[in-house]
Amino acid sequence: MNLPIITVVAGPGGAGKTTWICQKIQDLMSGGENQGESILYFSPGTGTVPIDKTRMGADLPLVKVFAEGEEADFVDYVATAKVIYIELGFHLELSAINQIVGDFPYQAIAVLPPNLQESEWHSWAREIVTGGDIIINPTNPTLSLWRAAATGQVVEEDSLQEFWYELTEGAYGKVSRAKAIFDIADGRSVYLDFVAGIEKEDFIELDLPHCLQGRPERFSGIEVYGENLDEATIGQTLRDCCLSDSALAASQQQVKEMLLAEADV
Amino acid sequence: MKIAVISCIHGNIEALDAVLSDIDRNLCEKIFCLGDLGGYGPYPNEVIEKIRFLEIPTCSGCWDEDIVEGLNACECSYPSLIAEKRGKLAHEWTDNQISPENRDFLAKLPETLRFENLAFVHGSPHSNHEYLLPELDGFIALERVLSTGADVLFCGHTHVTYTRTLNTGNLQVRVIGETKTFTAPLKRIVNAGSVGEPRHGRPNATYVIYDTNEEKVILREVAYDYEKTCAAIIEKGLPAIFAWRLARGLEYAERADDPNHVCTK
Repeated sequence: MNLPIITVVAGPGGAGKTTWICQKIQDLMSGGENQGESILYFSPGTGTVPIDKTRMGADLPLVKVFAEGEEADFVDYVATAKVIYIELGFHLELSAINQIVGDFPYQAIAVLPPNLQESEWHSWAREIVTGGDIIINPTNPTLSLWRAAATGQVVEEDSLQEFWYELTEGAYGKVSRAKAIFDIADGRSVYLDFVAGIEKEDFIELDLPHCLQGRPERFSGIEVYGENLDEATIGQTLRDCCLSDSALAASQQQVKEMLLAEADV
Repeated sequence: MKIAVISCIHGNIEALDAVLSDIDRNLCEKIFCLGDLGGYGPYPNEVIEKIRFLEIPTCSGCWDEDIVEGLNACECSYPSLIAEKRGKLAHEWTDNQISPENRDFLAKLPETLRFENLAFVHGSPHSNHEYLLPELDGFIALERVLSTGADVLFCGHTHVTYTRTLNTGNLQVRVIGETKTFTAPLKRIVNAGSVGEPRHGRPNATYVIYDTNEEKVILREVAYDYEKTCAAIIEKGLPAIFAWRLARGLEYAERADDPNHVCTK
């Protein structure tokens, strides 16, 4: 049996771990060596909010993606895999990797901002990749990570724009990192990404089927990392952005009629 | 003669006091108020009592009307679902605060005020809820001024000051085959901005001074202790997000962005 090449990627939130992994997988696929079927991606420690896994699955549908709770499936596929990427979230201890890979050899890659000269990642990694020029302050005791799953909820896009602006501009605490995937009223699933100090990006539509019938069953949710987060208000404001059953039905009907009219032209 | 025109105070007594002092310093002989005395801000009764005490001629704003008659906003008022929820919450809070005497005062406010060749309305001569945005179609804008019979129309409601000169316009009206053409003289629309809830990216209050001899408009921006208002918002149990938005010169909730929208309320 040929052992798969295992690469473990760690680093602070927002440095660009997922982006680096995506790029590496795309390089492999574009080289014709691999179409993705024998590539695995595993993102442990995500709880019920597997944002990176969902984004990876949408961007690279042939790659087999796994998150927390899917360890058994992941192990089943290891035997047939040629390449495995494991992304360690910034909130996980680096030693957590030993419980995941056991005795398998792996390459340790740290994606770090250029201004970080000394850290546990430096002594752990075999290779340092220069990531985004983010500001990190890991010793601040008021820093916390807040996550919420929103699967089944559909948000109004204008409300989401307002909420995201307020969140990332500091209305609910000083946010260092935020990412989310939401289903919006016109049926799209969108990815939102914020890193303090990095220019803001527009919402990115994920390459997933539009949901125009009832409530979506696919994952949506949010993860926020920052200082003095007013978690209760973030949660309430997000709930205020969500459509009621009747508003959702009306919106979906409107989109379907629009699509029918376009098809008739 | 110099007259001051103030609008959209929204329960912000600190901002009103600062503007009244600025008006004094600028030796204005008259003050007109374009309504929206309460709503969102923490001191609706105090603002109304000051306006009553000073006997400032005031026309009815959409918030004044809604406090008397119940919420009656056009869909154009709210840019999003969360804005609508916040607007309704603020309405309910203000409605519970207003004293019977002040409610009676609001009920008796006229829709329009006239002084010499000047007219004063809250939104537009057609509706307290209609926004006369600076990009409004020229024909509609001219029609709105002509309907008052005045040369200068003062309005508020958008919370952003502006002056718009409507150059001599040729109007052609055809009634049952008969065409009549007439020339409308130069007209102006002056938006007085907002004393208590500006939308120009700074917390400073805005209003205008009009010199009737020189027909000159001066747009005024007045700094005040907005942090006192922010503290009162939180102390009185209004949503903390109102304080955050006030400090940044963002409106709390309502906003119109479509200059082509003709309000139906």
